[in-house]
Parts: sequence; C-alpha cells; structure tokens
Amino acid sequence: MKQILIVDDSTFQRKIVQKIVSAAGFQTEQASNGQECLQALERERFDLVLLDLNMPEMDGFQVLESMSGNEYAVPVIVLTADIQNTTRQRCMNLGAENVLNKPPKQEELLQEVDRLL
Amino acid sequence: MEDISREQLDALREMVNIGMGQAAGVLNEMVNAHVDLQVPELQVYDPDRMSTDLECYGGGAVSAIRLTFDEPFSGSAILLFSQESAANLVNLLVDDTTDSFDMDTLRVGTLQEVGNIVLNTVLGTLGDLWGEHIQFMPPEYFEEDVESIVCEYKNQENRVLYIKTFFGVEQHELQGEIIFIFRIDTFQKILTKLEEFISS
Repeated sequence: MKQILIVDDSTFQRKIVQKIVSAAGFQTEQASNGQECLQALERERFDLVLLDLNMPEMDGFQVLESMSGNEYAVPVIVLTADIQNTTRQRCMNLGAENVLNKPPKQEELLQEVDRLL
Repeated sequence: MEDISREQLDALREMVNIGMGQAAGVLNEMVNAHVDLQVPELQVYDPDRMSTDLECYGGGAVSAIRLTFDEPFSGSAILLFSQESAANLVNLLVDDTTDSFDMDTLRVGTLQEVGNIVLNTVLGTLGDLWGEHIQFMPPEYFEEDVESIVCEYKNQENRVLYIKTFFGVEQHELQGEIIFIFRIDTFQKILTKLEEFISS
C-alpha cells in the first residue's frame, strides 16, 4: 500500500487530509512541522508528501530546500492557504510537483495524488 | 486557555490562516510583490492584556484601519501599520506627483481602502467557512497610539477572543498586523460553528 506523509501544524487540517486520502485507500503518517517531516523521511520510505507551508519552527519552503539538497526522491504536493502566484512559483522552483489551495477539495487532491502515485 | 478547547483553537487558527492566505493574494496583486505570512496567534483573555501584546509599537502613533461587524458575529478587525510601513504602502500604490493637501486625503483614502479590502477578504473567508454572511460597517481610519485604539475594548467587562497575525511585503520595508476582537456574546456562536465544522 502506498504511504503518504501529511505535514501540517494544524491537527484539524491533518485530520481532514488524512480522511480524504485514507478513504481512497492510502496509508498515512503525520508530522506537525518541518523538522518532524525531515525526521520521518530519514526514518521511513514515503511515496508522497503533502506539505503545508506556513508552520512554526521550520516552514514548508525550508523543507523543500532541504529535500532538494538530499536524495529523498519523494514527490511533494504543497497544500497551502496562500494563494499568491509568487508562492506557487517558489514552491515549483524548489521542486514541488504541484501547489493546491486550502481548504483542500477532495476531488482535486485525489486526482493529483493519483497522478503522482 | 479556558473556554475554548485545543481542537477548536487549532481549527480556528487554521481558518484564520486560510483567510490570511486569501488576503495575501489580494495584497500581492495590489503591491506586485510577495507577501510573507506568519502563523496566527490566538488568545482568549481579558481585554486589559491587549496593550501588553501591542507594546512592539511603542507609544507612538500607528495607522489603523478598523472594520466593525455586528451580525451574526459582533466584533472588530483592525489592520495596524507603523507610520513608516503605512507611508511605504501608500508610496507603492499612489502616484507621488499629487500636491501635499491632496496627498494627505489620498493617503488616508488609500490606506482605508487597502484595509477594507484586506479585512473583508479575511473575514469574508471566515464567513464562507462558517456558512454565514457577516455584515460590516464602513471602514474607519485612525492615526493614534495603540493604547487609544484598544481603549474601548478594555472597558468591556467580558473577555475577548483575540487573534493576531503578522505579514510582511518583501523588498518594501512594509509590515502589518491584523487583530480580530470578537466580543463575548459572539464567542459561543463561534464555538458552535467550530464544533459543527470539526464534527462534519
């Protein structure tokens, strides 16, 4: 079963995303900030990361930067409330596969997950 | 933190984050620059503590745009800029060839409208997420010290739900802060909405 890492400082948001992808048959793990995300990637193999941007301690941009400097080879979909084109462009430049806006739309999210897995 | 559970607080913080993300998009288009966002801080407390949290502005005057709302939730949203940030924002948006008298009128009008758009975007997003239409009063502009601006909320006996969130516009020395003050009569309505949202 494909495994997805959900990274968001909001428990509420992690639950929403977890509910959507679990119902579609994916296994999930959760991390509440960028540090935890990188630790999880060191520890286990994931097929996809769903990454929030605006988080305390280590934000999503920093995670993308760290990931591009390592050989994790895990696709990342950014899930953010920030609708700016400049944010989208930065994420794509840092290696994100796509940027989706919060609150996540079930159909859009699953379509993107299916495309990458 | 009393009155509000961790789960409710987390959901509310995320909703404000979504609203701020939308507002950042609008502001980005207005100033044509990237807007950095910080994680919103939420507190439920006595209004007397508000000025302690706003000490970063010192005793000097700030530029503030206030949007008051009264149905179905009552409270205020205040967008705060230091005088320097407000001037930088106006310079970004306004042609500087206008004479000084007109410039002052234009400056106030510009800041008021920026505040109106940004605050409406955040509150409108919250209203959408809660499935409620929030009714606003016209925006008000102040140049006062922070203490004077928050003074009227201190006189309330009840406690307030206080949400503070920072943003900054890159390359333009421009930072702002938004404060939401929900009055206590609204507090229970918000908790009910959050519970509905969490359980759905």
